[in-house]
Amino acid sequence: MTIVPASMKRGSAELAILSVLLEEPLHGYEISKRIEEHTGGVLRFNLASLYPMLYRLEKRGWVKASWQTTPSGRRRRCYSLTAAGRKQLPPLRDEWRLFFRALDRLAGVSRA
Amino acid sequence: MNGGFSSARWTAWRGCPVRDWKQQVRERLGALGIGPEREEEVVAELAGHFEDAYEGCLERSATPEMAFACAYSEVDNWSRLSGEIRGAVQEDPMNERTKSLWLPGLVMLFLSSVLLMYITRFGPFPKMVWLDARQPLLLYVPWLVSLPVFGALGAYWSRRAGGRVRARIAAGVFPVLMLAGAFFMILPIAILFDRNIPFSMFVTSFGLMLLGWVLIPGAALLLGALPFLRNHANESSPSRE
Repeated sequence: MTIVPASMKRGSAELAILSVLLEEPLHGYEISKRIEEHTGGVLRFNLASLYPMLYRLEKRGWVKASWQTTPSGRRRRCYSLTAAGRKQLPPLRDEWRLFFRALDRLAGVSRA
Repeated sequence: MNGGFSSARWTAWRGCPVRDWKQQVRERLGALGIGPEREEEVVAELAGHFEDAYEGCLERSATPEMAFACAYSEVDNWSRLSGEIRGAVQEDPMNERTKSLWLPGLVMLFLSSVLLMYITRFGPFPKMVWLDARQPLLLYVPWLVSLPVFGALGAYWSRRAGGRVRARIAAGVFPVLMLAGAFFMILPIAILFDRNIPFSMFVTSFGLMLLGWVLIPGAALLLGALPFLRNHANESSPSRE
């Protein structure tokens, strides 16, 4: 399986995290699993890359966190998308779409 | 980056009687310097992640020791993680909008206002354009000529601060946005309180002021901002890191 380099993962982290949180509020471990599942394992965020990004998004007000008790009785800090975070998604998607289109024009990625 | 049972790391961790995850995380993270409450919260959150990762590995038929190593393989460098968390939690108190809109906009408003005050006091008389027989349109030509520079500086600053196109436009034309806001607040108040002046004169006066102080200066500012609305070649990456 081809793994996307770390630098690109960092750039895509915001979009990936916001996209999965659009579905439902999740705690950190669930976010990383959900991203991995949705991308067939191509994108993986481990603890070291995930939490600093989550804290940054929280600081910007794009996500908010609250402690909740899971069905197994554990306390987990769950993240949900704020209205500001929701507003960030379309421009982020557009930026990535533009980026991939440009890359496609340059390298014919979709025809490769 | 992730996953995999690193034998070196596993050896380093074997023998640790799990599972005070909080204690393990606290020891390895060290002092974060983000305040005791927030620090405790971070420790508890990361400990929860390790606990979930550990159980996830167990579910994939790993032995407890392998699962332990597997969970901890999520962090390669604890001191780097510490630094990144500290940086993220104590991120620049100025948010993105402040940096890309309010700061450049307000500085340009201040500079353009200072220049206007200087011109009105020491500069040439304003050019009068008689669009209406009763009151002229006043144009401070040296000020208008300088505005594209302020527009360019505002948009450039906003772009440097990571502002999107809308923020760059707003930062560029910020000085007239404030004036427009003031005019739209003043007009209804003036109509309400000054009943001696005919309404038609108010409208004409307002129209002329809008033209002379908002629309024409706004166009000049926008002209200056235009070259900075496109992304610089170095900023084409979608990464915002």
